Order: sequence, then structure tokens, then C-alpha cells
Amino acid sequence: MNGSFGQGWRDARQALGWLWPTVSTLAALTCIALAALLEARAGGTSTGTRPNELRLLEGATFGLVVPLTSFALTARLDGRLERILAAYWPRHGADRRAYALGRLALCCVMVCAIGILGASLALGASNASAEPVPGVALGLLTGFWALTWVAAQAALSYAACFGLAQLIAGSWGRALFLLGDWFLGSSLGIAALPWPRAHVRALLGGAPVLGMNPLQASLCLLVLTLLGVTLYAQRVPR
Amino acid sequence: VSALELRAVWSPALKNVSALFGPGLHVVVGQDSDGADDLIALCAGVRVPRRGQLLLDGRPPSASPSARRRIASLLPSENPDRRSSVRAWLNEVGQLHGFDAGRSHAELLPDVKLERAVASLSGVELRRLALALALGQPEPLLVALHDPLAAAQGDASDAVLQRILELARQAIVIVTTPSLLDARRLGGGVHVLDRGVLARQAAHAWPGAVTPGLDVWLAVDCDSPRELLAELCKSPDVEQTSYDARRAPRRLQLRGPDLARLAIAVSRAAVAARVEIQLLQVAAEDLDSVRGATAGLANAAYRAVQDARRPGEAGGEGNSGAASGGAGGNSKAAT
Repeated sequence: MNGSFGQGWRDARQALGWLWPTVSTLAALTCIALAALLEARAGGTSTGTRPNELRLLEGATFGLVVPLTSFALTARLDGRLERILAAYWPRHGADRRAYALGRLALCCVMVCAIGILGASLALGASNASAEPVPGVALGLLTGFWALTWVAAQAALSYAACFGLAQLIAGSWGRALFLLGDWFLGSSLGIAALPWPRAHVRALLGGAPVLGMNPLQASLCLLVLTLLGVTLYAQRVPR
Repeated sequence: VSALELRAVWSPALKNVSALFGPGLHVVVGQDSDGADDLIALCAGVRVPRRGQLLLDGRPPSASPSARRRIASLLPSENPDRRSSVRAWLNEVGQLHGFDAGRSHAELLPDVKLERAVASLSGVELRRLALALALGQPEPLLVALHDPLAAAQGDASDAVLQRILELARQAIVIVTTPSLLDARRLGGGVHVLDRGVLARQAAHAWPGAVTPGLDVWLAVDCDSPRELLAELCKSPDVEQTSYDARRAPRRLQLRGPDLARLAIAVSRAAVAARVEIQLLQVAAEDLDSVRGATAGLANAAYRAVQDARRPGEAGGEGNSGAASGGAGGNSKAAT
């Protein structure tokens, strides 16, 4: 089991190489830095850290970079069922389910790392470009660990959901999930419930889905991740 | 006793295939477009049927790692981890299957160095190495090989043939090949895979079984072809002869309805003309001839059933006559 998981991880790492992760990380950080620059130019120091921070985190980092990185990474690793079935090591007796989870785990870790890096950059950039507004409570986002927790949850749920979408319906599945997340995840009603974007927004202090508190939003993300991983594992024959 | 069972299996190329394979050698004659590659991929567990079930001892190979560990397979294209060395590749596969893969490599493919990178191997070498790995497994339940004699070139093909026959004594061995010549070398029962359907089964791969109703062509090399030709013209079993003094001055080609009778006629003519025969070879039919014969047989069976259903017509004799006539006529027409 562990060997098969490790083999999946190694195969995914080899399929990615070193160039793709480097370029995608640089692209993600550049995107966030550009967004921070535009925010700083547009608002100056008058709007304060908190709104800047929110826009950079909710819009650029968790609204754009994390979903798109997950989307591109899943495409790059090509986790379609036929590819997983035809993988070399499972053919020779490795546990295919553990192998597929190993591949997915690398995807999760990488998106998580990019998410944390991006969020840290966004936080640093917003603090550097604007003065804190007196009287505005900075709350959850001020702690690095809290930010790491949000980034990890967002990255895991996105990677699991994109992995499942790719497994079920290939490129179309991924594309439909991305569109659904963008359009339906931006709403506040019951239609927003199955999309990570809605809960990440709530965790970052944005409008909550169905009036849920941050703990409930966090639980929803956890459920989405577990559901995605479980369905993913169930769908891959051993 | 192990068994591989296909229950109404559908795949992109296979259409509702049902079969039961027990231990022994089963040669499936057909091309990839007929579903030969699909059949091997399904047996190896790297593909799942669209519909139906494929079970090895009651377990689907695609969903059972322990079953896959007992399957030795050679796919049309092998795609191992190209960044490792040959030694690392063999070791890892050997560990999963529980045998020393290096030894089988040394027996079947001594010219490939273990230190070489897998990426540096050509496609042919990769397939040969994968074949060596498959045949090196000590006690597989199922051996599924895609065109193994084409993968093993030169001197290795005899060793491969020997090992396949050795494995067939204890395991289910399924070999697909588009070549009737290879099917003859392998021996064993032959299944004809035609456009996704296991169309028929033949006892062997010689003309009488795979192309019934079609004439046989025999090539004869001898020291005095003209004298032999003169004697052969007297034989009633020889329907047609062909001799091209420019292109092949020592070769005669003969056509007749039955291989055994044709061969006996050649032997008698050689004795009578005092000619030394150097080579006697049956011309290999191509897959189109086999398909033609299959279509002819199917058509004849269809006609026989239609005749039997018609009221007021004679049954037994008439039907069998129609069947045999249909088979012969149609298969000749198809040829």
C-alpha cells in the first residue's frame, strides 16, 4: 500500500519535472505581485490594509491563482481513468487506488505550497503598500498560521475536486468545475454550497453562504475535500 | 484449475465476446483493429470492459492487485519509467512479481546491458525486454502476449517459443498475432478474431482448419523443376502449377484442394522424376483469406438455417449440401 502510494507520488513528480513547478510558482507569484501593485496604485494608502488584504487574498490568491493552478496541475498530471488504469506499476501488481492517491497527494501538496506562498506575498504586499486603518479589526487574517490553515484547506479542496472532475469527465469535467466554481461559487444561496470558492470567501471574512460562521465554512471545505478524495478513490479500481 | 472467463465483453474494438480459456496455449489470430490489442489489455488488467466481465479465477484483473501480480503480459506498446536504468526497472518489476527478473533478461536478451538507461532503448528493445520480463515469471496464472514472435527477433524467437510452450503446460497462455505463420509455429488451438468477434475456433493454424474450402498453394524448391513439373501435370490432385524460370529458376508453385494430397502428389512425382526436393513450403494465407473463409462459413450456416425454416422443402441432406456448397462457394468468391 505505502509502496504503491510512494510510486504514484514519484511518477507524478517525474511527470512534472522541475520546470513546470518552477514556472507555475513564478507565474502565480508574479500575478499576485501585479495585483498588489495595481491595488496600491488605485487606492494609495487611504483605503487601509484590511480592504487591500481582502481583495488580494480573496480575489487574486484564492480566487484566481489557487483554482487556476489546480486546474493546470490536474491537466498536466492527466489523471483520467484510462491513464491511471494503464499506469505501469499498477499493471504489475501495485495497488492502483493507493497509486492514484499518491498522484493526487502531490497535486494537493503543490497547490497548497503555492497557495501559502501566494497568500504570504499578498499579506506582505498589502501591509507594505497601505497603512492600517485605525479601528478596523484585523481578526483572523493577521495570523500567519491562520492564513496557512485557510490556504491548506482551499488547496486541498480544489485539488481533490479538480482531481475527481478530471477522473470522471476528463478535460470537460475540469472546465465545467472551474466555471461552476466561478459562477455558482460567487453566489450566497444553496447553489454555492458545493463549491470551494464560496467557503474560502467566507473564511477570509467575505459574505458567508447561507449565513454560516467561519467554523462551519471550514467544516464545509473539509467535507468537500473528504468527499472528493473518497469518491476519487472509490472510482479507481484497485 | 485456473480459468479465464469473458462474459459478453465489450470494449472499443471487441463486441460481445464470450469465451472460456483454460490452461494451455490459445492463439488468437487477428489484427489490432479486430480487437487483439484490446483483448491483451483487458487480460493484463490495464483496461476495464465497457460492458460485461472478464474474470481470472473469479476476480477481474483490473480490480485485483494480487491477480495482476500473477499475470505476465506483453502489450503492443510498453511504457515503463524511462528515467531509470534497465537494472532498476527489472528489479522493481521483479520485486512486485516476486522473481529475479535479471536472470530471465540474461536468458532471453543477453545483448542489452543492465546499466543502460531505459530512455536509450529503442521501441523494439523495450518490447523485447518486456517480453523477457513476462516470460521470466516463474508461476503465472495467466500469460497474455501481443505478437511475441514479432517482438523476439532472430535467435531469441526459438527460446521464446520454447518458453511459451513451457508456460502453457501450467498456465493459461493467450497469444494474439496477425500472422498465420507465427500461429503455426506456436501450435495449439486457434481462435479467429474478426472485427471484434471471436468468429470461430480451429484445431490448428494449417489451411484445412483456418481456410476450409479454399485451395492450398505449395512452394517446392528442387534441383530440376522442369522434370518435376512434367510429372506433376499428370497428377489429378494438382489443379494449377506456376513456374517462372527468370525470377525463381528452382521454384515451382502448385495449387490444389487439399494440402496432404498435394504433398503426396509432389513426393510421388519427385520419386518418379528422380528429383531432389530442397524445400516444401505451404504458402501462408493472409488474414483476408481467413476472413473470407469465416464469412463463407457464416453465410453457409445462415443459408442452411434459412433452408431448414422453409416449409415443404427437404431437410437433412439438402441442408448439409447447401451448407458445404455455400462455404466453398463463398469462400472462393471472397478469395
